Amino acid sequence: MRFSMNGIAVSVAVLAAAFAASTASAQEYPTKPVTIVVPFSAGGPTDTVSRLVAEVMGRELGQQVVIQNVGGAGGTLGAGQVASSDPDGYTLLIHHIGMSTAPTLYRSLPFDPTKDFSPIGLITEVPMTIVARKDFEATTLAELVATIKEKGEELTYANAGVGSASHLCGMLFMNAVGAAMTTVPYQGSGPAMTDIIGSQIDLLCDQTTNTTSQIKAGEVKAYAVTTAERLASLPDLPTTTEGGLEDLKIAVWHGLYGPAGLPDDVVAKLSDALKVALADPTIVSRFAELGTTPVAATEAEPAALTATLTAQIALWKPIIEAAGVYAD
Amino acid sequence: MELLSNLALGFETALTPTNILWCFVGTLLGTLVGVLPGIGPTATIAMLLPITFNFEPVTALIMLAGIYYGAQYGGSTTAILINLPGESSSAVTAIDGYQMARQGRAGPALATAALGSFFAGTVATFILAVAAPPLARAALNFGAPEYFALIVLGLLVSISLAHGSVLKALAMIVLGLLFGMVGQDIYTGTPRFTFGQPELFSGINFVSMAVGVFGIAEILRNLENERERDVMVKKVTNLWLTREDFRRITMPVLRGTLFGSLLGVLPGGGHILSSFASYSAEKNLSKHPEEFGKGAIEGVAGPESANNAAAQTSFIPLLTLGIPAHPVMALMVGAFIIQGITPGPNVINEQPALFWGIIASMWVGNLLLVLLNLPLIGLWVKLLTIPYRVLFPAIVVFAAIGCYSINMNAFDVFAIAFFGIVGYVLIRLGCEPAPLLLGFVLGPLLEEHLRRAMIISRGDPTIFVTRPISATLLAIAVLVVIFAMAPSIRKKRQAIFVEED
Amino acid sequence: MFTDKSTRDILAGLVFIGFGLAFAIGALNYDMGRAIKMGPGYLPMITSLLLVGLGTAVAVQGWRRSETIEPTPIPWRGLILIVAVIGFFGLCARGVGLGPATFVTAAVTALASRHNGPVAAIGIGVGMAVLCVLVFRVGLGISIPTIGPWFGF
Repeated sequence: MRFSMNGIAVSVAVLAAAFAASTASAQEYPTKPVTIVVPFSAGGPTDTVSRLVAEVMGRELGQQVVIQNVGGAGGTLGAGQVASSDPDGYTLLIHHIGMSTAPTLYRSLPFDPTKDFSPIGLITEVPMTIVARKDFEATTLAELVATIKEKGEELTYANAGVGSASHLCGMLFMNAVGAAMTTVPYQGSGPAMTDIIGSQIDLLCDQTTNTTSQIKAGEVKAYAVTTAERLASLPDLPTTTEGGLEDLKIAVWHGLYGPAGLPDDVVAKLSDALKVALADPTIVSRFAELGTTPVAATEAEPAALTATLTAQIALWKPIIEAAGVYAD
Repeated sequence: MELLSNLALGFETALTPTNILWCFVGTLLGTLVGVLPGIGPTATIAMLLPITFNFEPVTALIMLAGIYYGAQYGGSTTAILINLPGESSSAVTAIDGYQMARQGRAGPALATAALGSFFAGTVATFILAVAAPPLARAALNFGAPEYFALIVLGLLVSISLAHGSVLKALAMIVLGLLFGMVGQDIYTGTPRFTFGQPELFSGINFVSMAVGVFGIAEILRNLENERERDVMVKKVTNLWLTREDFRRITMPVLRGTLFGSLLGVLPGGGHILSSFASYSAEKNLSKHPEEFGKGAIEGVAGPESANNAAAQTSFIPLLTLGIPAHPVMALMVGAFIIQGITPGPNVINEQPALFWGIIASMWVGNLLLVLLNLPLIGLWVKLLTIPYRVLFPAIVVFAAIGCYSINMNAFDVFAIAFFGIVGYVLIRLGCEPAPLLLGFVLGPLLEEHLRRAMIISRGDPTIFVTRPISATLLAIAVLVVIFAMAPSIRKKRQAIFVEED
Repeated sequence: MFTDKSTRDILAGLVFIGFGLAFAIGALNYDMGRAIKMGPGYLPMITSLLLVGLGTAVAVQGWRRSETIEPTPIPWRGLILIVAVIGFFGLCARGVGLGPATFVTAAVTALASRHNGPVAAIGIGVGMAVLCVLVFRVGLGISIPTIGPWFGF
């Protein structure tokens, strides 16, 4: 097995070179690598956000922070795994808005998002954009709303699967317009975007992480961004409020959690490391390219995350129940 | 001569010592993880992503791409040597490759895979350089109805995967379709056939199934009559291809490259079809189809070329449009973003050195792979001289660790045992496992596209015949069935006479 | 052995019918929907019924066909050991760690062959444990610990 041994030598060398920069300092926590569970597959927007943050947090904590992707069941598998792990600070979770919709979407959820986790802090809020195939007739949000009211179910709306951000935005969008479209689910944002670019389908509301480059290249027609303010990365794109849809406000917020019962000093240490990561210039510029910004330091706190989580659970419960969609 | 200056820029970028080094590291690691069943390129790229943070963007992407096509390559080695396929393409290679190995022809099988892959990689890289943007545009004409028609065609054509009873092969495909339906329904989120286990919500793991029905079932077969016969390889005859072998693989490699290059561009699962399609084509075109399934070298040459060509051209949608063709490409999107580049239609203009550098590096990587692997063939073949009683526990351990490491999910490991038994029983009863895997892989895609097409057309089934691409594909499917039926009816008449002797 | 029926085909047909019926019964729990808007149960039901049909055809064909096959013994010992040990690996790999899990898996699997005695099995187990820890843990850095928490580390 000479060949494998060479391979091992190479990979050891690679690993060593990569982590030479991050030398461990002698402190109580952490004394070994910290694992952050990302409950989605690698390469998605949540994964990207997590990997960026994990790298800087690792430097700050003096220990490697490893991302582990535990995909499946709309993020509830990975979250459930963290909920039942030891609260020692070595297994954490980064989850998005799905944490607040899971209790309504999944009637038999094996954990309680408000009780089974120790919130550590908010990370970012990714705005969403409403886009259509580039040969779609409407040019402004007002025209789009009129077209939807007129054609209703003749129009097709793509989403990235049950419980995905685009699914949530779609429900909110149709509520705000007051007319239903035909919803076409896909497995993930990539295939949905592919069919919008290929003009196979009409509309999509998705995170700026997925849409910005396509909007800039003119591959899709953009109507509005779902935040209160216009975005620096897409300055020409009006907000939903400007376009007359005040009720359509949604951002995909990401939070960092540990299992319930995480010691206070560990929470504080992680929250501090998170703040450092969110102020890091590389992170700020990478986030900006994704059309988002890190939250302010005051938001990267347990209290802010708890507040957001409770408010969002209350917000989504009636909307999802009215739409009658469940994931199980 | 813009192409020449672009390629010059690409090679200038790809041939810096740093980039060559990391391209080599990538292809080497890729080959290694490809050889180990289970782990696969997705997990490896995910694990190695953090290492590339400190690299130049082009270096990082060259290395990650190298892991991907290196793993495609390495996977066939395990499939040929010990019948453990790590993904759908190597499952096809396992059919005839493993039989060749048992006949002492592992060397020629591995050499065929290496040479076929290199040729296909070279051609596909050239296609990528010349025609990436128009091909990507053409692929966008494929909507749900077209994919549905393509998959129907693929399923019908692939019945010839079987070398025994057509009826049993059909039943195996349908059983595969059903196993493919286990998991959450993507349209309503309803979990199906999951017994309430959240671990099964995302479906049965392909690797567990492949490793079970091929690897474990084969071990059980070999344990059947341990006393009477020695299970492993007959004497290893030669390591290299004969003149006759070269003659036999030429056309399959060319056709496989064509299939792979075209199907790889389709983001909705086209690359999965390429190796199956190539195998079926070779079997149908062969003058001696009876050799297929019993160690036909064409059955290795075609699918391996198709697979490698598809691996290269599946970068086309990513590089030109920023849309990922499959999970590994989705991970590459993540790698781009972490490097501060948002993949999309603008990359080619804004980052020409990166775009052309990656393309040029693919050819460099393919060259490195063939240089790396040809000398290794002797070593791999020596592995087969390990007594089987030592080798098979190693196969079981690799299978278990490999499947477990994908999602850290115990169910994926249990599934190996389940499918090992199912595979063993069915093989004993004269059914072949390859059609089962094909159905399993294509089943979810078939359902997804059929239902999406029906939603988009608002329940009008004529959508499949009013759209030109879909109508053409379905017409070809009908022709295939007619062609397939005609000789079988004739044969049936003859068979009746034969049985009466 | 020569029979006037193909027992293999009849049994294969019955296996297909069995799977088809099992999936069909399972599919009854899910909403069928209509062809226009297919529910989660629509295609599973059609597909399982198709499998029942094909299974019947395979069995009927077997009834009409004669064949000659050499019966081979079922390797019960290997079957039971391998299934048990794969189950053990799934359940305990994380708890006992990669090293011990690999050792047990390889050693017990080795016993499935009559050519391996206990000494050979332990040898194979130790060899595989060392090899796998080096390749997977040291080389690839997978997140199963070498020695698991069940040993009190």
